[in-house]
Amino acid sequence: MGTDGFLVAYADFSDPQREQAFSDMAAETELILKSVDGSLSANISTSFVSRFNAAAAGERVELDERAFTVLNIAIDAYNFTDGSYNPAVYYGVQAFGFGSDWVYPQTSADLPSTAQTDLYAELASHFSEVITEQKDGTYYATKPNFTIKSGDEELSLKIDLGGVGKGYAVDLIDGLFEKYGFEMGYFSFGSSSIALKKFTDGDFKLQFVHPRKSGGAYLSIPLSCSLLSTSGDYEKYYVFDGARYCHIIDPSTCRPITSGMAAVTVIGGTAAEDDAITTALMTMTPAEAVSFINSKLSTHRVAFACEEGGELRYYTNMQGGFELLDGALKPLT
Amino acid sequence: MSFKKVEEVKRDRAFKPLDLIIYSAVAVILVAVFLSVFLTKSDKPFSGIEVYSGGELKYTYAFDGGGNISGEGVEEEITDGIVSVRVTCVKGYNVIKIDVAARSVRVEEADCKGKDCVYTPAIVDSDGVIYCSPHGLKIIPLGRGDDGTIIVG
Repeated sequence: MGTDGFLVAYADFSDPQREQAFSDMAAETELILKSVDGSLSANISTSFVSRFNAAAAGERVELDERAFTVLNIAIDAYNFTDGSYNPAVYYGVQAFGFGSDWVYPQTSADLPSTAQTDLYAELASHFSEVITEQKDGTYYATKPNFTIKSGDEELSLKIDLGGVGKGYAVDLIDGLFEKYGFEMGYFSFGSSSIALKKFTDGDFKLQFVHPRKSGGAYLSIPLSCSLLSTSGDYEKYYVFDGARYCHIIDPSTCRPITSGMAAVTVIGGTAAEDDAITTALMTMTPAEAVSFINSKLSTHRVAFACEEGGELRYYTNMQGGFELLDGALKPLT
Repeated sequence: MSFKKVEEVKRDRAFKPLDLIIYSAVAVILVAVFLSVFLTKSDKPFSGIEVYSGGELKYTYAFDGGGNISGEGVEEEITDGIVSVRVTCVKGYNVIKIDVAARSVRVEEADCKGKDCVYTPAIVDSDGVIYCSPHGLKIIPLGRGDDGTIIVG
C-alpha cells in the first residue's frame, strides 16, 4: 500500500516479559502489513487485486481470504454510501497521476479529457455487478461483463482497495494489543487510519491537520479506545489555473473531487468502514454530507472542514468533546 | 526494521500531589507525513527542548544549562551562540539549530522528502512542536514528555 505505520505501547518495560511481548507484537504487526499489502496492493503484480484487475471482463478470479474479506467490505460500503464510495475509480486515479508512480501532469493540457473520464466513470458504475463467492473453502470474485473502448484498448473494470485495505490492517493490528496484553498505546497507519487504546493519563490528544494552513491543526479531540479515519484534499494534490486536483476521485466523474470538502474525520465503527465513509463524504457536497451524517452516521462522531463562499468552514455532529483550534473557522451555514 | 527504547518519564502535575512515573516503549516503523502543531497557548516557560528519534530521547537542551546527548546518532556543535545538533537515524538526518539568545529552535536542514520540517516555523514558546515523520523525529519543549498528542491527517 506504500504507507507506513507507527506502533506505540505503554507498559512497565523493566519487565523483560513485557519487552519480549512488545517485540513479538511489533513483529506480527509487520507481518500483517506485509500480508495485507501482498494481497491487496494494486501496485504489486502478484497481489490478488492485481490478478482481479488483469482479468478479462466477466472472468472469475480466485482470491485469498484477505482480498475476499476486504472486497466484501468495499461492496458493503458502496451500498451503504449509495455509490459515493466506489473502489472502481482505478483509471481515474492513474489518469490524474495518483497511481504508484505519483507522476503528476505537468500542465493542464496534460489532464485527461472529460470525454475520457466519462468513459472511466461509466465503467466504474458497474462495480455493483462484481460478484463474490466462497465455494469449498476457496474464494472468488467475478468481474462485471462490461468494457469500454479507450483508443485501441478495451478496458475492463479495475479496483483499488488501498483505502479500505489500510483500515482493514488497522482493525487487525488493533486486536494485537489485547493478544499481547497491552492496554495502553495506539497504531497510526499513514497518520490517517488509527486504532487507539488507552493512554497513560487521561485521553490521547488528537490534533487534526488544518487543510489550508501548512503545519497547523484545526481541530483537537481528546479520545481513547476508538478507531478512526481521516481523509483530506491536502494529502496529495496539485493546482492548475487556480483549481486543486487532489487524489480523491469522484466516482460519478472519475475526476478529482470538486465538492468543496477539504477534510473529513469519522470516529466509530471499524477502521475499514471509517476509511470508506471518509472517502465517500469527501465526494459529497457539504449539504449532502450533512444529510448523510444525520441519516446514517448518528452512532459515529464526524467532523469536516469545507470551503463555502470562499471561506473555510466546519461542521460536526458532536455536541461537545472537541476544540476548534482555528478561531477564524466559522460553522457551516 | 522497527526498534524500541525503554524510556522513563517523570512528570510533575500542578494539580496532582503524586509524581507519576511512566515506563514506555515505542517502536517506530516509519511515518510518511511531516507536521508541526501549534497547540492552545500555555503559560509554562520555554526553557529548552527535548529531541526524540524513533521514540527514544536522544538529546535535551536547557537554555540555562546547555545540551545533553543521551542517545546514539547525535552530534552537537556550538558556534557563536548557535547550537547545531545533527540527529542521524536509519532513514537519514536532521540538523537542528538552537539560537540560545533568541530562545528559538528550528530544523535547518534535512535529507527527507519534502523537507516540511525545515519549513515548519521555529519553536519559540512552550507550545511549539516540530515533527519529521519520515525520520521519526520529534522536537518538543523541555519537560513536556509524551503528552499523548497524536497528529491526524
